[in-house]
Amino acid sequence: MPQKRGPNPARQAALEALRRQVRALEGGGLGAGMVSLGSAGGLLAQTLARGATHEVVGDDYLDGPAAAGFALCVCARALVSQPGVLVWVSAPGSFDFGAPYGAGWARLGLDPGRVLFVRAPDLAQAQGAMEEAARTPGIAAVFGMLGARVSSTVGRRLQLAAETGGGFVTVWRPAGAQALAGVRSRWGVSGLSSAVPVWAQEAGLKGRALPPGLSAFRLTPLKGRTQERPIAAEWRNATDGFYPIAPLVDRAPTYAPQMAYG
Amino acid sequence: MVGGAQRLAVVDRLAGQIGVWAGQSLADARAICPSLICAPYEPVADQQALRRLARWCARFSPAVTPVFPNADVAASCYGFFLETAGVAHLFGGEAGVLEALLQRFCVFGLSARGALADTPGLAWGLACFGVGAPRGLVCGEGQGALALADLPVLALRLPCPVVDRLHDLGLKRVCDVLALPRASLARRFGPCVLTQIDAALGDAPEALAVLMPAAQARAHLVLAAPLTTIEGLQEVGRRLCTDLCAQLTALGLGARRVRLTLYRVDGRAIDLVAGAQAPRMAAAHWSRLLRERLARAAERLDLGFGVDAAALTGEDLEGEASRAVGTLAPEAGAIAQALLARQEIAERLSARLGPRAVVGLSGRASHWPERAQRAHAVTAGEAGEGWPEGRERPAFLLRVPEAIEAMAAAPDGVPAQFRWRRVLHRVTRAAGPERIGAEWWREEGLTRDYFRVETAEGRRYWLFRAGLYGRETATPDWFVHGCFP
Repeated sequence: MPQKRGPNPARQAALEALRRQVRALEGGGLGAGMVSLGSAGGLLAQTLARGATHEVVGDDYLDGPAAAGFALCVCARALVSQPGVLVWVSAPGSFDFGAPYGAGWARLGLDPGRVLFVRAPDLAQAQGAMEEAARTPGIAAVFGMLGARVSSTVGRRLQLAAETGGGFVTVWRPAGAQALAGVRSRWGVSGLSSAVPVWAQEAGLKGRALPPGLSAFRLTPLKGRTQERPIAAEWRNATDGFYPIAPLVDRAPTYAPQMAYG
Repeated sequence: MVGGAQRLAVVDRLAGQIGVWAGQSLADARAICPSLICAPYEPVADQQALRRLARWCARFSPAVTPVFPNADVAASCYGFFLETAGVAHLFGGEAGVLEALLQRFCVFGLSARGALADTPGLAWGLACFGVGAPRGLVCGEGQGALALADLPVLALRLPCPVVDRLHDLGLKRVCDVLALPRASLARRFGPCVLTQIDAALGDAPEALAVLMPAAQARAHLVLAAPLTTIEGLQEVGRRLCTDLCAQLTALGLGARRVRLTLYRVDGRAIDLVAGAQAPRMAAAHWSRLLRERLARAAERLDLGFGVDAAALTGEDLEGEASRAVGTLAPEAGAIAQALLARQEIAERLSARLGPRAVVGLSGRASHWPERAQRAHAVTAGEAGEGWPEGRERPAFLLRVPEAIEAMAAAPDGVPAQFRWRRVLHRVTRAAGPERIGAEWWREEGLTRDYFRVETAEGRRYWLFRAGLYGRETATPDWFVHGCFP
């Protein structure tokens, strides 16, 4: 009876090591999946790197969930390519769009089993916990929800901690909060109407008959190359990547419906 | 209160000298001494107080056995046994332990007597009935038989009827009993007399139920002056960790938990526990956890007039597994490091913020959205019941659904627009309903029809209509329950 050949573990390990080397050459960036977004997409792929702190802020008060969702998508991407957990720190009263709900994270590509959720009693403790987690090597990502009134040094401290630990650190801030000093990148995020899937368009669905689609964001770089145009990107959890939202061409189906009788 | 009359349960030495005795009625005692100070007898509170004091006595030796009064045994009273073997040199000899202990009790305002002897039985007898030194009697090695012979038979902790019979026969002192042949003693009074004499002389063992289990690894530090600051205690913790972890290393074991006991100068002991997810023996790790634990306890910690001794006990000792990480292949090493980092950060943040502040989220088998998730302690390491599959759920769920003003074309249709948090949202896309019935076996509630909607601004919400139109309610209310990114 022929022996079924399984994957060779030594070969797998060697491949994984090579991938790791390539990632190291890429400069710690989260890499592929964001390359097709034009020059601003290049900026996104370049700046969203490990060993650095990134700030996301909603363009408007009601864009808070979108900004947090974007940060979680990027964290999910960081978790894919590295073992380790996401430490999610929340300060009381900073995020008022609900508590983390694990059942909805699959949509973002995030595994609830790889998330440690830390409820800090106050803002200072939340900052301290974030810093502690960021400084620990082996923690893949840190996500913190900090309110508007943080100390002026927290950005610089988190950046230093991230450089020490090598993890991916993101901070969510409410709309209108003063920018953190010393962070690597800062992104303004707002929600975007999701792309209409091909099947829906072909079926001629319109208006409220159309179901909401994938998570989509408008991303504005607020630090560095701020003259870049905002990126419109949708997140696909299947590949853990951002893709451009290209408007579909409005045209009739090119094939005639097949009529089948008997 | 015994048989309708108020009686004295316990009297102190001064009252005893006046002629008041335990068991006397309160009226008689008041007649003898009108200025008698008395308080209601609370045996449970007394036992608790003795237990507390016994725990504090672990400052001197970890083997403490509290003894409570027993109505069946003659001349029984509150007290405790303290094993001084192996610790006496820390206090300048065995007499030093006794002196230090009695001096502390005197400061606390307790009238205590103590004795030091080779066996618990003899020490008890000497403490209760010994003559000579007013408070502390030390019976040297080999003088036990002589000292015991001098004591009254009451000192043998015998049952009351046996003592009464001995007294009736004119046997008042232990030497009178020792003069009798052993065979006839056993025949007349049962085995208890011989057992107690043998135990007091050290010819038979006496088992004591110690309050705290013997620790395999325990570090102890007595301070020159009481400490009242957290920073000072953190330094004490660091030193104790160094000491304890040296013991653990010698044993080749790691501790899952360490217990820091702080002994206050006023006779209270405070316990603080720090836990790890895996057995640990590294001093740096434990001292860091203890520092966080002390910092967290700082606000509620009542140090009184200061802490003048501290002990650190390692609990749940097991072989340490984490040593193997360095020997793994690089890839497996990265995964092992990530696992270790997860444990360490969970331990450190739990020590700092409290065990309930660091949680993992797991699914629960329930359709009701609020109940479909639960937070569990990370240290427990348990698996959940799984997440709902094939259902679109928001990433953020409001703790309490928020009511909205919805305007729908039909009472059971999708709203065309709604007002939430004072902002008007125009619905452009919608999916639903997903009908979720209330868990009737848990509580009554209205059926909910959930809709996923997207607004003109590109924001996605999870709305529901509470109650089925026409069947459960005539005017269904609308709520926002969550936000999709």
